[in-house]
Amino acid sequence: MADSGDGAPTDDLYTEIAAKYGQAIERLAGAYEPDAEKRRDLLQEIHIALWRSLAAFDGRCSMRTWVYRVAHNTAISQVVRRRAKTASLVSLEELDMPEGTGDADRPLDEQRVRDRLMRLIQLLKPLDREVFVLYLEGMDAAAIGEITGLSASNVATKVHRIKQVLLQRFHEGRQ
Amino acid sequence: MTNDGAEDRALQAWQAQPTGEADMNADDIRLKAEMLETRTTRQMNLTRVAFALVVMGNIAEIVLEPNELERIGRGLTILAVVFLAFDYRRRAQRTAAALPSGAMDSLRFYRAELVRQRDAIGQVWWRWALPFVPGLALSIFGSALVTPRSPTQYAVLLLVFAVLLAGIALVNRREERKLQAEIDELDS
Repeated sequence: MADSGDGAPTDDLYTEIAAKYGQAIERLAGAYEPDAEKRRDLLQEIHIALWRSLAAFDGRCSMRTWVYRVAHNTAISQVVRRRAKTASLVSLEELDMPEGTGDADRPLDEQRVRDRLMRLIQLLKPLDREVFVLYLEGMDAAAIGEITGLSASNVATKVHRIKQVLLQRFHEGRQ
Repeated sequence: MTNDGAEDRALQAWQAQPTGEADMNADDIRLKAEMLETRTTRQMNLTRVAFALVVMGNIAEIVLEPNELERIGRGLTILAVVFLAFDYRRRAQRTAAALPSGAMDSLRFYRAELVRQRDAIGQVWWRWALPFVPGLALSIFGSALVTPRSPTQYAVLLLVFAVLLAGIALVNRREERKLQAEIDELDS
């Protein structure tokens, strides 16, 4: 247990985690929620869930795994709650984003790459979205598997597909 | 590099996103968590008041209504409301207990969420609609004995009632199937 009862150890741990993973959590929230206001709400929800969860942290997994699991699980919970209101989500295998997004005349700069990535990711079903986001955070297959609970072969297949998608969408010369 | 730099470009663009939109410290989070709890408690209290008002309205009807069958019908409606109130409380506690944790990987958590939602939807009909049927039916029957209406009026009333219940059941069944399909996909 990370908290002896007065809240201070949990607060210290939370502060440390927020400093270390805050930016990644913010990127993650963007992957689940395109609307700015709702994204802030989700971000806040994730931080509250994280802060509350720390008292139960027992060290059976790494702190990084714990943080990402709490963050993604909170976001997944929101996806499930809103599933009736959202458009159909697709798997990585089904992903086929149309190119006609109205920005074809602009150079493929960082902002545009990011916009395209976000659009792609937000089309995906929760677990595929999570794998995509974790991959973009630079995690290897073992870490992705531990956080998601997917088998190594399953993660490898999904990562392979993500690489194909990235190549298809972002190779040099594509506008 | 086998992919023409596409992978690096995507990773770099992703990780270079501007952040800092909501930097929070432990005190902020504690405050926001308390505000969230206050809001939840307020919502629970409002629901309790709504349940109490329905019960009181039906008690008043029992006191004022001379028709015996209608009074029994109102009594059954009160029982249905009490059942609903306890069920609502139990579900709220269960939902609070199922808060996202790091002890569960996402696959298990996602599956558990889908199962929870499937079960909740699957039980709507008999938990939220069925308990009210006996009381409502008895009240209508009692009222019909006192002031008889034409058979057509009864037929229309029965039809509306049946269509409403069947509609709820059909919509929920469809949603339940969709959720089951997602669960099956995760299990495969």
